[in-house]
Amino acid sequence: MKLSLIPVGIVLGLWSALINAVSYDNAFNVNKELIHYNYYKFSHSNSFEVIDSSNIIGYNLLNQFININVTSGDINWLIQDTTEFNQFVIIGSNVYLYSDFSHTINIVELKTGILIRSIEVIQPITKVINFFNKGLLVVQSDGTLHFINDRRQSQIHLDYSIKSEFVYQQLNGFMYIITYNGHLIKLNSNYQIVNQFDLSANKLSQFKDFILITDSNQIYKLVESGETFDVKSISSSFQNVKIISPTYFYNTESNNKVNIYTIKNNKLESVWDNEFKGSEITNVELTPFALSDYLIVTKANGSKQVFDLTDLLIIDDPYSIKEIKVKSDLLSIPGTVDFIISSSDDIPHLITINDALDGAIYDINDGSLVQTIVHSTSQFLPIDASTVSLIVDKPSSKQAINQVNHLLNEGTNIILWNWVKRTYRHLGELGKYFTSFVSSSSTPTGSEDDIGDLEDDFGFVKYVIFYDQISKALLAINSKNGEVEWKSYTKDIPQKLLQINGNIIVVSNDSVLELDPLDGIVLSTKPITGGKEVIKVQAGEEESYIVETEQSFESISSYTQDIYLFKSNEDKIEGHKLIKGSTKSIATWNFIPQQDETIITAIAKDVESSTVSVGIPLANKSILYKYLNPNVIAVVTKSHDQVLKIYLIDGITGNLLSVFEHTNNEIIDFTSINIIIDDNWVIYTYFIKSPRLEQRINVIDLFDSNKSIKKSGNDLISSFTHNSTINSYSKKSFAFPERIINLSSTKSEYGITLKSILVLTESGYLMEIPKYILNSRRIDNRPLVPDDYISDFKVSPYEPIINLNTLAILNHKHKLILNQNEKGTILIKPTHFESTSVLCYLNKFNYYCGLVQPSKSFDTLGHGFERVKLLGTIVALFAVYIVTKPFVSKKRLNDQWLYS
Amino acid sequence: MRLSIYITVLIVQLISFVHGLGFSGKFKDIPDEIDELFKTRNAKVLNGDNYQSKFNVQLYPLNTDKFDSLSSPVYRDYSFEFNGLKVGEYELVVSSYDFFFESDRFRIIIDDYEEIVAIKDSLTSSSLNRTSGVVISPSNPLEIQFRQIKQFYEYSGGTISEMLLSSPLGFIFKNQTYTMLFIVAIGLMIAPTALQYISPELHEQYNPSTLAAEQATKLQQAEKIRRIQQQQQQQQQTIKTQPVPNKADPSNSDVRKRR
Repeated sequence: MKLSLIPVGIVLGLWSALINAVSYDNAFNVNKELIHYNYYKFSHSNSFEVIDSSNIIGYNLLNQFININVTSGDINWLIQDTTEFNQFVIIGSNVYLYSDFSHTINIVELKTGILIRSIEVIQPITKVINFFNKGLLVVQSDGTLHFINDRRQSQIHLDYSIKSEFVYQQLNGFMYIITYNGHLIKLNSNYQIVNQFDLSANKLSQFKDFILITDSNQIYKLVESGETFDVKSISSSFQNVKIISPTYFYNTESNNKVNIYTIKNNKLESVWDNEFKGSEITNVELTPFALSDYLIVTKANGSKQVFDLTDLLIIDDPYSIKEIKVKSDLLSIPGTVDFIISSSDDIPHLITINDALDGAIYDINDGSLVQTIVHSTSQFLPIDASTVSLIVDKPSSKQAINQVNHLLNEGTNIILWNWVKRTYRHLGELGKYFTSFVSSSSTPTGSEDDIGDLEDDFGFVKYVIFYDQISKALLAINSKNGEVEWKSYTKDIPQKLLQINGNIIVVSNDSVLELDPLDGIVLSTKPITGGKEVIKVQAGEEESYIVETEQSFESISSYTQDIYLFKSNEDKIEGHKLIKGSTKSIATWNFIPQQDETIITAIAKDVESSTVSVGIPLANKSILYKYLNPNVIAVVTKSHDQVLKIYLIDGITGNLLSVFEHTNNEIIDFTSINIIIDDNWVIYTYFIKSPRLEQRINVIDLFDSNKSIKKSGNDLISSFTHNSTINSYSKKSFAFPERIINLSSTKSEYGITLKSILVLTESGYLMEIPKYILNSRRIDNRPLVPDDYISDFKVSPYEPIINLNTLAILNHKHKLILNQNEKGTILIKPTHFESTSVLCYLNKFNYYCGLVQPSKSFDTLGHGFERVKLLGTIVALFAVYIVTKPFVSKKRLNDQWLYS
Repeated sequence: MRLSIYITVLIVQLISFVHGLGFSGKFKDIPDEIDELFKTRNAKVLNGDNYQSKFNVQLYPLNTDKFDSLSSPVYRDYSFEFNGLKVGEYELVVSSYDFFFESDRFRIIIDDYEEIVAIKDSLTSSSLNRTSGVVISPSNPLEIQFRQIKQFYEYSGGTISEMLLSSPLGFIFKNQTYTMLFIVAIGLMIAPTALQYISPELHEQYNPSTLAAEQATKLQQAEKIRRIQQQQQQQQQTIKTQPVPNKADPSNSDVRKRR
């Protein structure tokens, strides 16, 4: 057993050694990887609460419960998928998540978001109350009252059942609850019933400081004497009067006036009023903070006025009310909610903020603006990222284009004069380089910029383009720094994005827009009618698009060569040919699977993927040629008895090249199938329940041992007169420990670099698996012999399990948020270095960009390369040489003498 | 007898239908304090301290062709629970973004007598060892042993200082005094050899073997002289003639010759 594990260990060790992991020194290098988490916006204005200047918590529209740093806009922590909750209460250091009429309460640690406890209640929750910051009082639909906190859950046995309509106050260590039908329950802070009493009051709307206000605006006072209670009528009231204290009340009059009343001779008498000119009052809120009480008045135009009532409540002098004029710069931000918090230096601050996290912080002592908060602009919500997204090279600036054009046009017929000008220009550039080098060394930030500029020249910076549902515009995001490079507003929601001849093609229902990738400016607009989809085609050097209609494909202009296309639906695949000179295609072949089969998906090879290796040299000096037919279409079908089949079809001739059929004892999750076709292989993944629950990766390597594919020059072509059937293949199945959500493969500039398979797993890993690991030619029936090592690249014995190699996880510690419905898209674009490609992942929860180097950085020096140490070593060796030179010459001289 | 068994099974099934069956589990020995690289680098990692939120605990019913699964959150104490289960077989698959465990797949079997048994079902094992099952319940949780923290960054190592520190002599270099003593000792050891190349004359002068050889030569010479003197005295006594020194004696040569 131990012996059998040795080769496995060797293989795993070899594999882990070959993976180009990011070293400790480069960990969390912002120049290497970028992660951005979206929170979009809070569900509504009552779905969030500011705790302090570092924490704002609430539910957002992505069904998450989040804690965001108010000032920086960073997410402190996040709880995914909180669809069953929509309410929360903060109690001490915990937050309780619940929902009306649900059975579950989750208790979460406020600082970290760690779930402490999940509590199931028998009856649905109808109301909850914060009970002295010790726990929750929960009223259930059967009228029972329960106390719940992170350690305890117990029922409070009442003589009466209570419904959700009740009022309560917490005062002097007791809680008084008065039900809708006048039952009073008095609890102590240990949630024990002290007293239960029947009052003659009913239909109460407010209860504070022993003052009761009924729905009919009558004001009463609750008098407690021993174990009995009495309700005394104080006064009749005005509409919408609210309690400030036992002696003061306020209301809003005519939407432009705020009154403060006191009770005199059993009547409410105004002692203070303030008329607000201009905009109407939208909200008046009494906000207690520490020992003070503030009345915050919000007007329709967003401006705020704050009145400090602290002195009024102490000395009973209406003239002591202090008005704080908030110097509002946020007149145009609607829907803000106000919170008073204590700053780090214990100064009360007013935070006024809306659900999109735009707002401001004011010093409440003088109303001065402390900080403006604008976070809505950092939020993006890609629509259908799998189709409406694109990665393109960062376009050259107009200045650079002009310079190149100028250089191209400046040449004359006099060769010597051209040489002089070129030498002059190069000398100028050299001088400029040295000047910039010197200036950048004096400013540390400048050096990084220079590195960035250099990397720009080599295509390390890409633009990720997608449609943002928030701003209703196409956005181009810089893959290196995450900044928005441009926004382009479109009338219609795009259905697809393509890059044709360098420009961005935006396909919507009835039009095709052409955008400049540099600035997003619309270059042209063309209408499309009756189009189902728009497809990019490449005829030689020429790139353009073709519109797929119900029956055929139609192009805007004719081509100089035949174009072959296919369309698919659940029942059949149909091949089409657009004859040169024609603008409408004709159907040439169709493929109808067996009667009980449904087509799940059909994919063709990515035209942008390239490979230079046409075969594998074997130990016997022969070549195992790869089957590199560029026109292969892989079709996945599901039969009535749930059998999975893969058909490989020639996209030009319609020939069935090969069929791979699974057995009917497998129970496959057909929604989990991902398939890619590249180079000479087809890889597909699926989740399976029987014969065993596992995630599988199947690999089919195709070979052309008979050299059956016809060649035209250097290009492989399909021909009706030539049999291109796949006559040699090998296949293997692997199990993977994580469920795979999305699948892709790497691309490089020239196809020299090894291929790697990229898998996005359920846990949020974006992992790179080298193709030589997913090699169907790995030997499983005998020990490896020396010839096997010669006959394949990095060959290893077949092991059915692909282990989770954490060093090959490209997003490292940054977990990607995703779910089954939000698979997102993996975007890859090669840099100008053959070894390196830029990789981005995008969905509505987050986007990630980084670099992938399947064959390690063979043509680049990493950031960790010890330039200083190398130079230091050279200098040290030189110094040693200089120092030892006289000794050496002296020794040589001495060696000339013979000792006798 | 058979009827009574049927009735018992029926009652058990009825109870389980009403109340539902369940079990709990716990991830054991996860360190309380984890030295995270992102903290020392001042990098922001979402839910960096909330390891519990990055667990995935899924229970797949195996008695159905459907792929719906049950999931459980992981609580602060790294526990989880499943309730409302029915009699049948399930596959429990657990994973964490940050940790590896000794076992991450279990077959959960709930029999007709409400007994819940968990059997390790590793991906690498080809069959299920049913005799290795453990009985679990809400009060007797399934314990899943922590193995190691997942490392996402490659520890480059390989530097000379790291090699020295991790070598058997590492204890010397971890202590300043030992290091100084070690360097002095090594210096004394290699000084004669170095001197041989830097200054051969000095080396020759202080080379113990050369000194010993010289001493031996001097003693030999003294012995020879003593013998010659004795011979001369004997000859003077016998034939009364004068002795002549031997110039061909190489031991008496001290002349350098050019090649």
